[in-house]
Amino acid sequence: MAHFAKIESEVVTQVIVAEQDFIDAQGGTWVQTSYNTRSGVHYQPNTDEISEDQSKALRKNYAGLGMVYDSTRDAFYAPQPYASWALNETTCLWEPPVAYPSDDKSYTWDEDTTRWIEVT
Amino acid sequence: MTGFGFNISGFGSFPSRDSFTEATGGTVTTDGDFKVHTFNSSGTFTVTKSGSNPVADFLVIAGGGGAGNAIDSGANGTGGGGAGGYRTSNGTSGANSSAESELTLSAVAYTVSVGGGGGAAASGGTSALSGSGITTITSAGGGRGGQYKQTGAGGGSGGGGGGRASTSGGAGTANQGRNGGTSRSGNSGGTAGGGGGGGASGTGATANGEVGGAGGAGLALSITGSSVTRSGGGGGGGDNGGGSGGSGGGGNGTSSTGANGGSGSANTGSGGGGCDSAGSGGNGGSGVVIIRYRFQ
Repeated sequence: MAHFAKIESEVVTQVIVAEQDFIDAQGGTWVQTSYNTRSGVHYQPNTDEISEDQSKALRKNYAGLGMVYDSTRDAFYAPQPYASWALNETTCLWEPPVAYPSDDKSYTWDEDTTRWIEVT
Repeated sequence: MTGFGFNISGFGSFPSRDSFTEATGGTVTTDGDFKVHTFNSSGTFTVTKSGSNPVADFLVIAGGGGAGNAIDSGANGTGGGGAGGYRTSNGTSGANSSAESELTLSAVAYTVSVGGGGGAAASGGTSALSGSGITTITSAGGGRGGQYKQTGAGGGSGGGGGGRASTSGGAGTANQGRNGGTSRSGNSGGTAGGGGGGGASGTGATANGEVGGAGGAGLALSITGSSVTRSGGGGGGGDNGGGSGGSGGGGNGTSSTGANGGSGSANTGSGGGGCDSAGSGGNGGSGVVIIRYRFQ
């Protein structure tokens, strides 16, 4: 079984399980997506174990409703969360200009000052 | 001598014989006098002969919601994904509502669409059964779980709220599923548990401080001939323990840094489990469509 995403104006509007012949009979634009691909890496089904065969990695991320399908990159990714965050071309995840602090405290991003603010 | 003669009697009333429905599509099994067509993938259910009493039971479950991601959430558990909407004519339907009316089939082709499970931070796909002469039966995808301070999304069942404070879960759809649970702040500053995702039968549990809430229970149904529970909510993630997935295949929440939430079971429409620091929310499980009718 494969998963296919329906694309309307570069946005994912539906994800179904189907075979290619069913998709061929449907209207609109459908793009195949991999349930087991995350951040450009393919994992064994329902595990966090990286697959030996990375040729199975498909379009960077599993498509989700509301995500962007970028036909130029041929990739699915989330909408940009903040204007200052940049898309990592390898993972197609958004990254802040300042790394998340590693002191086990909780922080939230403040776009006005482009820095992490500790939550107390 | 008596004459030859004969009397014909009793030929006027043959017992009536029903003609039964015949159809193709999906994986076909039998349960006594009934055929069961199970669609784990989208396809076509083609009735080649409607028969004299062409009624059929159905079960339509959408894809479960994915749990929230822990990006930008620190040590705050994310909400579990809500279960996919659950509609049936064969027994108790979603949110413990009454069974819906059976389908009356015609000799036509029906389109079956099976929703995919939602990825991390994404709601599940809708499932539907449509065709000439019936009102389309659509089940809504399960709502995604919330990330840091994010309300769970509404859906068939709602996703759990993302830690922290008291962030509410998303709303379930009437007669399809339950609401997601609320997140809570922990006792020690800066940590929290995410709410459990709603299930077809049970509401997602509120987080217990730093422990994620359990996912809501799914519903059991014997439409295939044996009882199977489906559409459980995903457990919330938490800094001090993940919530258990709801019965029916809900993914478990996690608590370790970098651990991803458990996935909802495939073809149950169950929600994915939440996570904690630097983890990824579990994917929701894909949906299923099942049709049952008398064949002899």
